[in-house]
Amino acid sequence: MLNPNSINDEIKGLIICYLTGDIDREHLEILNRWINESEENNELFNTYKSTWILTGMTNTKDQFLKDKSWNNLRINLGLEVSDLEQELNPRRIWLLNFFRTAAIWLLFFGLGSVITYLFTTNKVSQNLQTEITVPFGTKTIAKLPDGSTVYLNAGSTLVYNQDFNKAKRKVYLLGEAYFKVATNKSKPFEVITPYLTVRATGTKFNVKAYPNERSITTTLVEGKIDIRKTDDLKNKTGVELKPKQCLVFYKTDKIINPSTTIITYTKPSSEKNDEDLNNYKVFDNVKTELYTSWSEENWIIENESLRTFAPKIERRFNMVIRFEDEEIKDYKFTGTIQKETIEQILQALKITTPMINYRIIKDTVNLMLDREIKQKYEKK
Amino acid sequence: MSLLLHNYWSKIKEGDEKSFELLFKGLFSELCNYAFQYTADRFLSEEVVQDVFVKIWQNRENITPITSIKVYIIQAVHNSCINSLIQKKNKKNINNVFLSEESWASIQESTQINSFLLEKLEAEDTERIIKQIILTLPAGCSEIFTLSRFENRSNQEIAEILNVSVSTVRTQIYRALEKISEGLLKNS
Repeated sequence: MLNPNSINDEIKGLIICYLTGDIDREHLEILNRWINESEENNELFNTYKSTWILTGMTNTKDQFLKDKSWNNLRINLGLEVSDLEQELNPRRIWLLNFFRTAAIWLLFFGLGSVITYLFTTNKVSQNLQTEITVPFGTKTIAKLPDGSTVYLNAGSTLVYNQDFNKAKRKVYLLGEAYFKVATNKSKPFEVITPYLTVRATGTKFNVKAYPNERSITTTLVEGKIDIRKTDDLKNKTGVELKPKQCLVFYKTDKIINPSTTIITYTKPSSEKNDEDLNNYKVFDNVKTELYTSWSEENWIIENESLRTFAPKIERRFNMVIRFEDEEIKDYKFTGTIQKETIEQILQALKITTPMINYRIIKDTVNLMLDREIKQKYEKK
Repeated sequence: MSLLLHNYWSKIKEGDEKSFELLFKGLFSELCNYAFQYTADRFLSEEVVQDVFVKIWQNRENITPITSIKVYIIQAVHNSCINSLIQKKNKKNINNVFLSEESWASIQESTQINSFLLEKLEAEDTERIIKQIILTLPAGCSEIFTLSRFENRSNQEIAEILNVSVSTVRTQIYRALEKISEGLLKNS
């Protein structure tokens, strides 16, 4: 039987840290020492670890694609498959994707706590920068040294220097993040993106600045923020946002190379840019949850065209969406997404918009228009 | 279940594809959940499980499981996960970035599934016992455990969501784990 007296609170905490992937080297060593102290400790630890694995196996969330995997398997084994199907299903290339590799390595450090680990290990480069990168198909949450919280969406990178929180609080962002900034009036918090810089002292706001998108959207939930052009921070006065306002800035120049690293835009641009921050629109009274709910359990989508919804789905599920008919892009989607799989979302879309058909082949979703159904609806 | 699986297995050995499909579909989620704990990647977990089944089908005539076919397959999935870790470890540039020597040691230590885990994997009522115990946990404790185990939330996230301290989260997960372990041991 388990003897609860033989184990102190520190060790209890460390066991949970280990199992939830929230442990650093130093503590891992302490835990290891404890495990090796006695046979009893070793057994107790193994019992807990086994129980942990067993509880994980009872997870009934339908997160794995049974039928799709069965089909792949059948194809690999050549069981009753036609030539056509075989053509559509080339054998998946194993383990080449870097992010997958990274994911394997992070395994013992658990499922959600990539960040804790990155913070505690040698991810600090020569410039003493800390970089947090979130692969496609996932999202994460990070706590900054000043106590601010950042929710990072799929395919995003956040960087800050070692001197963060010394005099200023500066972070560099590519992609989308929702910030809950800890209040500190004497040290402004700056989110720097290649085009815009958002300055705050203690607020909640969302910034969407994916390098391959034509616009940057900043949405304020609470407090006050000030937005300026990144290459012209000193001279111009910025635009101030009030809660429930949303500023969309349209990039006018060429789309910058998505592989451009953040480090390159920490230096001011050498070209003189006289243009004011004028290619923007401010929207009042927006439903902020439509802009921020991606960071929560319930992701709310309201009347959003597939044109703008598709890239979000691509990032969230690490899939590619192809429109076989251009006009599908103008159909709208409304719904709340929790833990649904991409199939379930497409099913929901199919129910509300029957004229859209979909076909999933490997990591690509093809959307096409069913003209017969469409005509039927138009007659009505 | 194990008796049923045994029947499947003798048919599969004879080349019955339908039984093979039933075995695959019956164990798929459980196996993926197992693999996911090592790979932390949904697609990769599916790949590992698929690959194990490919090998099982190809070698079906030579496989005679000592205990049960389920334990045999889980062991294979386990080894497959560990092997992909070792492969990655041997590729340069990756090991020194992500994994410390200490944690590498703990991975090697886990190349064996321990006897308690094996016994519980074989037992038919393990899942039922776990679910029952989770139901009897105090509300806060079961909520935290569910968020951690089934929603894959980090301790930090759970603390944020429920507005409690991270150490409270750990304590509650520990309590849940302690209760479930005790329940499982009682039924040994």
